[in-house]
Amino acid sequence: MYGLVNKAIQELVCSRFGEETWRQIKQKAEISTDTFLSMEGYPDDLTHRLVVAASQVLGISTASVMEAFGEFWVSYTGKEGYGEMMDMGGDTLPEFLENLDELHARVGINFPKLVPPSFECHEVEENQLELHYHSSREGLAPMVTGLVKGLGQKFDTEVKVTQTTSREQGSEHDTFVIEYKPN
Amino acid sequence: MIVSAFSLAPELFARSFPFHIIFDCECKILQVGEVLLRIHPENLIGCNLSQHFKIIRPAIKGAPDFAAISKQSRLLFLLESLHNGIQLKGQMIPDQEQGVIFFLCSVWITETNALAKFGLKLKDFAIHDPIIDFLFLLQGQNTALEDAKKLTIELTQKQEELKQALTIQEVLAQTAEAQSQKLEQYLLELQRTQSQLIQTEKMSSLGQLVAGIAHEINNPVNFIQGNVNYVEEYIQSLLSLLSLYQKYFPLHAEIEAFTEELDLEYIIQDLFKILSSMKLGAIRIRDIVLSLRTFSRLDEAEIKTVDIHESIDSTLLILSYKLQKKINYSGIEIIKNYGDLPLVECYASELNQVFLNILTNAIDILQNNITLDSAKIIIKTCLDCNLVCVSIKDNGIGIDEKLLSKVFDPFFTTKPVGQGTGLGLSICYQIVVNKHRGQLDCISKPGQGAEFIIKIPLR
Repeated sequence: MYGLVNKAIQELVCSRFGEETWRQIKQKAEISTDTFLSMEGYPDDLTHRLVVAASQVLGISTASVMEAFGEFWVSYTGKEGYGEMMDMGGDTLPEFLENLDELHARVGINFPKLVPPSFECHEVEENQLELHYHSSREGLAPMVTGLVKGLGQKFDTEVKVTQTTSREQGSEHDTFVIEYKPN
Repeated sequence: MIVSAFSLAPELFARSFPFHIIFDCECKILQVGEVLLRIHPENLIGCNLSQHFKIIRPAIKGAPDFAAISKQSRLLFLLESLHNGIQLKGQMIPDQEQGVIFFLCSVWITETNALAKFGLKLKDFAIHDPIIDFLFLLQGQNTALEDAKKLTIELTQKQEELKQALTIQEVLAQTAEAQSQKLEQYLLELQRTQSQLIQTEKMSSLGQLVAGIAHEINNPVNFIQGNVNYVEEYIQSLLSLLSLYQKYFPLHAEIEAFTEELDLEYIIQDLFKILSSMKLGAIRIRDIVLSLRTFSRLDEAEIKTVDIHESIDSTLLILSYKLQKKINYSGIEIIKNYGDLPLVECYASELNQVFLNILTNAIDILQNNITLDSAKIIIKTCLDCNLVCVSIKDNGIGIDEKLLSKVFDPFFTTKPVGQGTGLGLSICYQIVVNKHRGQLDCISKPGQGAEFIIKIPLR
């Protein structure tokens, strides 16, 4: 997982719960690093420990942490200098989701160590999309739910995300049905 | 050269090169890619290339015409819009047959924020176009640089904090050191004051006692000394009267017998010797009383002009019982080597304490060293420039080098518990150095005796 993800978790905790909570989470996760480097690859285990520790310190489930993080990720990357790249992805939620895989594919090609996920999106019916999520990592599906919700905010679109298949329940990959309604 | 059997249909060509320009031999623009057409503020079709674009590179001499551009077609071309500054990077491909040049290009962007400026989206670029990958790499580099900048700032801040912490630590250490030194000084002063108080009290009691005794003895001694001459005169008269009686009256047998029994001749002879001895004794008692008064100085002002030799002698007199020979004790020889000294203005009583303490120490050392054949104390005085120097040197066992620096410390003593307070030399130091602004030094080596040198400045 690249450092930008860990930085985003840090920013999420600090902005909503304060520096002291972040210090507790870091201590619980047994992480001594003060500053994460955005483009540096960090062990997945470190991010996993951070999520588990945040769940314990904040008293919420890891799934809730992941979902909150996914939602935060959209605004965070926009703020951290990726705004133009995000804007390039499209002007509407369906357009952006269609281009999502292309964005990740480019990241994967240019920074091979980062191993990004891949997405496949198609319209099922009017105002309803089906998003297929493939990742070499496990347990990040709730983050995708949060991510879509965050994109809904970005494009001022109401979204309802339902996970229809899950790797945790034996499926080959995770699938989400997204009902959306532009405001 | 491989000749392709296939070519792109115009629609596919347009999709593959969304920013292309095709112009004829007059440099009139015939066709423009869909995206370029959208993002360029001016209509390009039918216009001359140079109306809307400037060729940044390669350098073309004169006006860029078809021939000149064709000639440079192996070079990379960079065109810049004269209206919104957008740059197009690509290749000029002259098609002589059709009499046109294909400019196959893409938008050249070196800053990601230019994307928003020109309203470009991901889908606007052909998938094969490496500019997208370039932008991703650029963004990656920018992010890494941003991280490096933040880290540098953090590092600088931490360095500053560290520097400040070090400075604070240094200040604290200095303060602690200063406090510790102050405390040590206070403790030393306290010890000095305490020792001075004890000694002053002791010396004051001793002085009063000595002064009291001197006063009490002084009167009876005066009776003796004043009357002994009359006694001598009266005895002389009585003896003359006796002689007259012997001359004019015959001696009775009983008187004659008693005279013989008494051995009158001897009595008469011895009586004058006794009287002379009594006179001498009275004089000596008077001298002792004088010395006691000199020593105590209680009846004198604090600062007094005194004869240092007189002071030393009076002190020696006080201590004379310790110097005399006794059974199993050969006594201590005092060798005086007095120079010419002027009268000295000083705290006489206190200076006597100095002589008393140093001489007592010397005597104690010499008395305890019974193996010594000829114990002696040499007292030397001289005038050195403006300093009156008194040296008191014994031939005792001397002082160990390690202890030499401590001899003037309060409560330092080598005497057994109960025999020394450890205050004597400390008091001497106070009196000589602090009170008289003089110097007090101790020179000694084990086995070579100890010499104390007192230097008092003349006022």
